[in-house]
Amino acid sequence: MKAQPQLQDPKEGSKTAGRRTHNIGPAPSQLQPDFAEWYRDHRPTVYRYVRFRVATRETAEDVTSQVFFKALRSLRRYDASRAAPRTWLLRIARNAVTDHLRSLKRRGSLHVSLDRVPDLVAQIPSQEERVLRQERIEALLNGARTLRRADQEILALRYGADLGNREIARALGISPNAMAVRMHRALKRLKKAVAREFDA
Amino acid sequence: MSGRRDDPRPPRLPRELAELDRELSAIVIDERPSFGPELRAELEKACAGPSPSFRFRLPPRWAAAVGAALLVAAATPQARAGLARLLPWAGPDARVAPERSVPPSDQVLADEELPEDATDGPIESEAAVARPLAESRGELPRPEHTYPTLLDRSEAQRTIRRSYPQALQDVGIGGVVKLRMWVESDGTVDHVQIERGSGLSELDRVAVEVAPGLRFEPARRSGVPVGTWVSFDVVFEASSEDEPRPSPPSPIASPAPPQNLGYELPDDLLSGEYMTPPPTLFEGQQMLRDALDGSVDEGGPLGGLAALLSGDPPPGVGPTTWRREAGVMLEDAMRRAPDNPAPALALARIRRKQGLREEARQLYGDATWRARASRASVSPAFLAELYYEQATLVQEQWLAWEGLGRIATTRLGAIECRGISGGDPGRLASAQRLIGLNNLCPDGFRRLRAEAFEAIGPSKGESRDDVLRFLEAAAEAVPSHAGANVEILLDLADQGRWADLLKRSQRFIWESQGHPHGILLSALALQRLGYPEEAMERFRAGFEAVAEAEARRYTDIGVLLPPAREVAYRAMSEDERGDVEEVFWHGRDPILITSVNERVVEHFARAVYATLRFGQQSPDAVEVLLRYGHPSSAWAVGEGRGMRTVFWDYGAGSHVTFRSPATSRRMQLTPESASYLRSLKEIVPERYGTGALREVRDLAGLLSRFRAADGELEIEVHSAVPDEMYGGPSDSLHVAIYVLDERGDALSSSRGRVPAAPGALDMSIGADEAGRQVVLEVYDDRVGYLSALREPVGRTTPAGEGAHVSDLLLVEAANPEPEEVRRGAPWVLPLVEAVGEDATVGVLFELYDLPDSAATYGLAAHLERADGSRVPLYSCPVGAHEFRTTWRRRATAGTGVTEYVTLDVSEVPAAEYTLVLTVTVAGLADGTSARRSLTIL
Repeated sequence: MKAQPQLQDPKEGSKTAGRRTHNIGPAPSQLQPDFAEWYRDHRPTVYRYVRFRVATRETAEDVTSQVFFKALRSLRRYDASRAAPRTWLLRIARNAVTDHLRSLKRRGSLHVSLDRVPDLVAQIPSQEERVLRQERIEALLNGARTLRRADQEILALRYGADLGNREIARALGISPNAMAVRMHRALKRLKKAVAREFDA
Repeated sequence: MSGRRDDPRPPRLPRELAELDRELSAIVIDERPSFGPELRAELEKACAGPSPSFRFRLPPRWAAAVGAALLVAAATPQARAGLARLLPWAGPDARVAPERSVPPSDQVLADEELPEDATDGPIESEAAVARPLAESRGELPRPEHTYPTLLDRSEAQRTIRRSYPQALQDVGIGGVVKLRMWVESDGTVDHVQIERGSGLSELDRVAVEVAPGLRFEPARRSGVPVGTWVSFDVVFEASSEDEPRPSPPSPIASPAPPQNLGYELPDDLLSGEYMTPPPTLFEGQQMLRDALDGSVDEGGPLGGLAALLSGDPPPGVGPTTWRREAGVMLEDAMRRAPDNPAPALALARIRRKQGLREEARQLYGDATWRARASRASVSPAFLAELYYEQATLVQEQWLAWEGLGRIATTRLGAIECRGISGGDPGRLASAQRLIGLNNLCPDGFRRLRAEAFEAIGPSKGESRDDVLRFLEAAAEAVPSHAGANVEILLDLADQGRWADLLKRSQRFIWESQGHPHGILLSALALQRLGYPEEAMERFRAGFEAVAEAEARRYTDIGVLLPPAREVAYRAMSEDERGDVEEVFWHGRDPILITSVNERVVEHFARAVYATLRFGQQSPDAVEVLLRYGHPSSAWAVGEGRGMRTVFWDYGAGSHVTFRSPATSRRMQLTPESASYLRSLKEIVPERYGTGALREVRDLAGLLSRFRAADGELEIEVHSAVPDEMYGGPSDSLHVAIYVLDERGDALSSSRGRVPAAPGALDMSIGADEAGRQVVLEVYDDRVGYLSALREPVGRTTPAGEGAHVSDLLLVEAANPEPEEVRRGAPWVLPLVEAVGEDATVGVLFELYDLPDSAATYGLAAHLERADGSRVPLYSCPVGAHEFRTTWRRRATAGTGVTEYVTLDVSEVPAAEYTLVLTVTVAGLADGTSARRSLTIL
């Protein structure tokens, strides 16, 4: 069962029953954002985005921690009129992942091996199916790692953070149309890369 | 799910991509359940500072305890994991309600995930139920609880034994698979994950299959069974018996290591909390007091027991008188107490400090004999200390002979160096003369050493074997004795016995419960054996375990930097140094395709050896080792007056020479070598590869950028599988291509495999505006051998507007019809290396963004030498060439016009050139040109 993000973005209105929107005022100077609530609502999204882009669960946890620490430190600079909390947190996450990947000194630890993906298949009951799925995920993630950074980001926002089209477009600062084109291209390139991975 | 329902994704995907979309969407990413609470606790700590925005409420009595715990926790995963165990209120995410107070008595029930290492002990060990960290350390009170216990241990062992693949058992291959699994409240197992594999996929798979069959007594909170995560080791141990072996004793209870230690070591042995032998000072003083029978006055002129046992007179007392009087007293005590080793030891130390080594050795022997005779009353630690001191004493004597030899002056003339002739028969060449020859004629000097050097053997009782015998005896008395073990390990390193070093260091780690020097030396062995990935992990663990200042010495890169930068580096803060190191190593990864920077690992290996072998006393030797690695051979000649001149041979250039006292490892560069190394630093500041098993060789190839069918610029690399990479044990080779930016970060990469057979190796990759270097690597992972091509690339788009020319692809000109020459055609062979004389070179290029009006073009080609002079090859004005292909048609597809010319270079003298091709298109004023290096042999 896949955990789904539960936050309704304030810019998208408060349609979801039982969910509170972030009722934050327009003037940034008067902001008192409830960081605890942000943390509860957006940590899974941030974590999944990060986990999609890095090789291991441990790294994902480290990077996610950095994201929230950075966010906490820069909380006063947050401007609600410019970005929803989730978009803002994801922007920090994107930078944190980029920093992390840089710090790896382009090492192949980017490369995912079978023993690094068990957390992604934990809920598949049958062992055989799990192994098969594990191999496929390995190929998909390794394929994604070979793509250019922009492709990786868009795929991670979609399939990791589980964002919708409009939200991805907003996170990347592009039009929804451009987002769709980029997504299309990224998937095409991923398909090619995965084929290569399997050949390899 | 947010935004998805009214925002279907991705729009109008074709079928083949829709499939991929479904697959990607099905990837489930779940957090480790305790991660959220752990991070929350850390954030809360941060919130305790200046930011009031993070509104978690915490009951005051818990807040105090948490605050204390957080103060000692670092922001690392391990610390977070530890933190989780210390924070009973930090329940699963669903229960973290920020606006709600958390009553501790309820929340401990929600603490299912916290004891994640609850059953960390291997299945075959005594302790199936480990204690949580906090409980064992007693830092915080926590409510009573129990953790899962394996219900039927012997049945579990039988199950594992049954599943253990027979083929692996037959060849004695075993391993440990660390699993992480959820033990339900009914004791069943679910969600089995591999936390750390055994290195063998077969064993990992079996462990995962076996785990769901295990049954546990579940964890309980106030008597209520609850689910929990546990870590669990499944041990596969090869045995000829049908039934599993009896459980090995706890390593803490008995230091005996298992017979067959693999590469893997349990994490707790790498944690830095190691065992040290008990101090022997008090025991020695006690024995000395007994032997002297109260005849020494603590305030008297002899300075009391401590002074006597140390061998040093107390301050203000004349050493000569003190030694004489102490000697008389101790000799008397030796006679009176024949079973007591302390007086002999004290006297041995005094004689040693007097420089009377022979006498000291006899006294140490006497003390050892007495200690062994009365073993019941002498501790193993004391005995080990006796042996160890003897070993160091013999070592001082043996060092004078290490690598020592002589060269007769009559042989000097044979090297024909600047008219130097031989000397009188029967005389030996002086060290100074040899140093001179070394600097004047290094190659001849190397020959001289090979032909004329006569080794001088040590006299009786001063051999390496003697030193080792005493060291082994010390290690036998106390298996965790650090001094003895480290000396033994360094000796193995000196001899290049890396497999033995690994085995022995693993044993030492085990015996000492993780001595950091054992960890570091095992990492050195792993690096030399060709396992840099494993070595890197081990180095990191070792650096964590040693003191910060010591770790700093291993990671320091000051000596590798140019002098001015070294000064600046030394003045930097810790963080700034870290940044400099990162940038420094960034561009020095010799093999990108592997998961580790081999150069860094090699540096660590050098630093560990150099620091442990020469320590602070020989910074010169440490610097040379760090820069150039271990010499291929080392030898010495005596200088008289107890000095030696040591020669380190690196196989090329002059030997590096040191002056060294005969009885120590202190070494100082000779002025000649100091000057030589200063000059060398400007040319070769450091080098990779000494002793590294992953060899790197240059790969010849040709790099060109052309537009691909979609109009995007692509980099093509044409090369061939190098001769030396086929015929080996591998059937296929890894290949990878990277585009690196200015910092050396990979902007894009592509990898695959090719057969290990003769053949062309053509790869392409999308060009990136920020790309500055292209790297093509061919790697044989079975023999650890790499061929690499590294080529700089400039900007991918021309600066100005208008038509421009692609890179030049040089091809073999022996093609049947010029019209058939096109990129990618199998009969078009890229000219990967140089061309011979009397040759014709084919040049394939493309023209992009031509104006509609263009119908013809002009062409000029010349070769440029390194000094800037030119050799004209060809020149035709605009109008001379019609486009070979109908470019209008092709241009609409976003590509350029492919053109091909042949250039006759038969009259050109052999040299290295740059071929410059300038194309002028009708209607455009300026020509556009491309350059390509070309070697004519």
